[in-house]
Amino acid sequence: MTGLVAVAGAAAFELLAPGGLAWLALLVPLVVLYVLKIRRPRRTVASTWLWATAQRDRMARSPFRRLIAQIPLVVEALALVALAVGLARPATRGRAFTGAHVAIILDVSASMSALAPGPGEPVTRLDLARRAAHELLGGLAPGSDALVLEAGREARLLSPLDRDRVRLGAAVDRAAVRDVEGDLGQAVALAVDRLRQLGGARRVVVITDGNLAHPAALQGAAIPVEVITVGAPVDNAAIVRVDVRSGRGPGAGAEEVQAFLVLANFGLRARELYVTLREENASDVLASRRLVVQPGERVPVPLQFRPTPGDRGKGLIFEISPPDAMPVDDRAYAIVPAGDALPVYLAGASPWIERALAADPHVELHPGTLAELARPGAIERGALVVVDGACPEGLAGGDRLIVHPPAGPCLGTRVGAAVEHPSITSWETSDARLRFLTLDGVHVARANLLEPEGASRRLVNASQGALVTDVSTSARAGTLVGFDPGDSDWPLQASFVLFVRNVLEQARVHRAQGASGPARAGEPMRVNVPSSATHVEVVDPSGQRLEVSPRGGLAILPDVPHAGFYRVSWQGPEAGSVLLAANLTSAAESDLTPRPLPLEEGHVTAATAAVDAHQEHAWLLALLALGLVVLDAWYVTRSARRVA
Amino acid sequence: MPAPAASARAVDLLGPDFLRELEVLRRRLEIRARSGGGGEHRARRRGGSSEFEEHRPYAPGDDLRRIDWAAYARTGEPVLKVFRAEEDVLVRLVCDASASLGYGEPPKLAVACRLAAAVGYMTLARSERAQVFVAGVGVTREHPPVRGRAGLPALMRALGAIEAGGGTDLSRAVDTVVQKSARPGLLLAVSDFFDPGPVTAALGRAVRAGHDVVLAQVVAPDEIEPTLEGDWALEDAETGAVVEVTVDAAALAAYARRFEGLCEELRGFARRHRAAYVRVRTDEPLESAVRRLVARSVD
Repeated sequence: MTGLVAVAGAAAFELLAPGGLAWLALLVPLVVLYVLKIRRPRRTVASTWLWATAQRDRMARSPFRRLIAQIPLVVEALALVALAVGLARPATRGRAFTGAHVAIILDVSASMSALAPGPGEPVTRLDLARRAAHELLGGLAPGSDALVLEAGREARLLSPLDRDRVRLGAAVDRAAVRDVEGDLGQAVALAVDRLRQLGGARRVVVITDGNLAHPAALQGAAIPVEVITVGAPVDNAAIVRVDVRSGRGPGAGAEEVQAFLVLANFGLRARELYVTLREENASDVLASRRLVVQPGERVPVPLQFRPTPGDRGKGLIFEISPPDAMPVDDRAYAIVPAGDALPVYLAGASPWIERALAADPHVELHPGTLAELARPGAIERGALVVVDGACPEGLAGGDRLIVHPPAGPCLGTRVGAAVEHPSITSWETSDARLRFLTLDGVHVARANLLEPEGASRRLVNASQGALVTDVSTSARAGTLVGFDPGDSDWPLQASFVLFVRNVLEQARVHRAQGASGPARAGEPMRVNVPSSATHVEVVDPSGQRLEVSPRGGLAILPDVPHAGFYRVSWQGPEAGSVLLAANLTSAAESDLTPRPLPLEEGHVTAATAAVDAHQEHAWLLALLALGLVVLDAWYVTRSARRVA
Repeated sequence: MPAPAASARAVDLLGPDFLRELEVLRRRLEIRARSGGGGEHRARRRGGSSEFEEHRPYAPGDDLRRIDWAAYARTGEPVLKVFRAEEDVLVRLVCDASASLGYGEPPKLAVACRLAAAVGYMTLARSERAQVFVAGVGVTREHPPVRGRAGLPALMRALGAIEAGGGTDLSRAVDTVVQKSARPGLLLAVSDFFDPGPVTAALGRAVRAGHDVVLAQVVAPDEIEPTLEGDWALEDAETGAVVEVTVDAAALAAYARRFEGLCEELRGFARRHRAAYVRVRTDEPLESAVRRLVARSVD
């Protein structure tokens, strides 16, 4: 049966009954007994001259005498101290966790970077977790082995099963916080998988702060899971959502960058927060707001500023102040989006299409020949490329609209033979390009039937075959129209204008997202690069460089451990670079208030488990006190025997 | 033989068996100092007496009456008969009567007086002179010297009348005795010597003045090995000063070191000045102590 045991976090050494220290007060009467003069029997001797060197204290009028560090006093005081501390029940944690095979899972999610409240040098929850892990390792029975895992978004093995405490301790010390939303389930599954085939006692110990994004992941493991919680609850405010886009102001209509943030206060008190917006590597504040956020409240915060053409693609940093226990969620990062005007490059387009494009006031048309567009740098990144009568493969830019391509393969679709008067039978209404329109009543005189291959899918079907297909790749969106609009009555209908506007809007959205969509730390980052790019290098927020192999105009950064800016650069005929932003934006991680662990029924509660997990040392101190008393008695009787 | 009255007093103090032994021991009592005047004791210097010493050639200026005419008749050489001079000896019995001598069971003073009486008996039995000095803070009482067995009752009375009391300044007492001694003699100091003063210095001065010094230290058994245990307030019998002592192993060791240091000081003095030193326990038979004293041993 699976057991899930929670162990409340506490200091490494603690007194379970601090009241026992009150017995230390007995030190006072003990010392007084030694300071007070005893009433000595009087005896006449021939001469006290012989006793002069043996005398301890001369007769004085004062009832007190000088305190001398006598051996009995020291021994009795030590015995009393040992007894008092023993009654206070000193205990250490972690000794209870012993077993033949132990998997230690360290939670390294973003919340583990929160500073623990209290006096002294600030320590993070991960520091406390490391201490607990070291105590666990120290309490392993001889011959036991352990493995160490860190659980961020993904599980990572820090040390395989090993008996060497030093190596295991070094592995624990290597654990580092990641600005990600944690998932302990994967780490538990990995630990169970590693221990499953082993015999003997097996345990999985999870050391976490209890602020789990996916608490249910701990349940259902095949091996009992023991949870040690570290860190105390602490108030925190965070940026839990950020969105930046280009827009136009309501008054002057000037183009501006509009940012929308959501601030959340996870504390128990209202907080007055200042939100500032500035560019990366700049100290000037572009926009700021002051607001009071009530406990548990989430407040949307809009910020705007007017960008200059040079601002496009630069980094934006949102920051709330004053800072709190968890700095990583006090900041958010974004990129200045491209302008509202969408550049559209046309090659041999029919006048119908050109006219429909020109109807959009925020479109910059760039007509040209196919040869002109094929030159490196001729097409701006993110621009919509419209080609009529051809199917070029290597054109740069963003979304593509290919109209009436010649027969043959084209972007994953085979363009077939021409058919006369195909009858449109259905279309993909859920696709963004075909929203709000109907193709009923559209008559096509002649069209080339399209046969999607691979990932391509049909958008508009006729009785003979597909007329429009989606030729999007992972890097860029594409639409293939198998007929010339001039050979149909579609341009005369509103659906044609809507179709062109939908394509424009989709291209505009993709352009605003830049090389990559909204990225969260911990998730793979997809970066659109030119298909000609051969070598992609990524510099993460900490300055580390990473090589990524692009494929089909897409580079995937598998591990995004930290929030911040990632600079991606590529080599090739269209060499360039782009700045990308990744954020934590996880309410589950930012909420540092206590949350109940998903303990399974019939098992130990957190409070009881904490006691059970302690190793008491009172008996040792009692033994020490007894030894001291025996020593004291021996010392006194030894003196008497010598006299006799 | 002792006179009947004198013998009665001596028997009270010394006992008949002890007196018989003293009669034997008195012949072995060696006194290395002479007090001048004719006496029964053979002097170190040669002089006129009945004991022939040797012949020596006559030298001008010699007393013609001492020429051995018979030898001159036989040898034709004038020689003089030389006789050993016999001097009178005065034994000064300095008996410490400070309060510390009242300690012990029997009291140390009783043993001291018996010891002094024994020496005095032997002295008077040899027709020598004896004089009793009672020491306290200096000489508290000086009895006139007595001679021969006729002086035995007075000597016994003087010793029997001594009572313990008062403080001690033994060095002052010795110095006083030496100053009052016109001629040197045997100086028997009977005391416990529990005196922080310069006693051995005063005794040294007595030796330099020609006295034959004999030291008799009377101690109680529990002064050699104290039987105390625990916490005590010890009161000095002489000064009344109180010393609070926790008697443990360390305290006993400190006491033993000081007591042994005192004995060693007296022992060293005796060896340096060819004096006798006898340590007398109050629980031991006095005969044994007197034998050691007569033998001039250094305990």
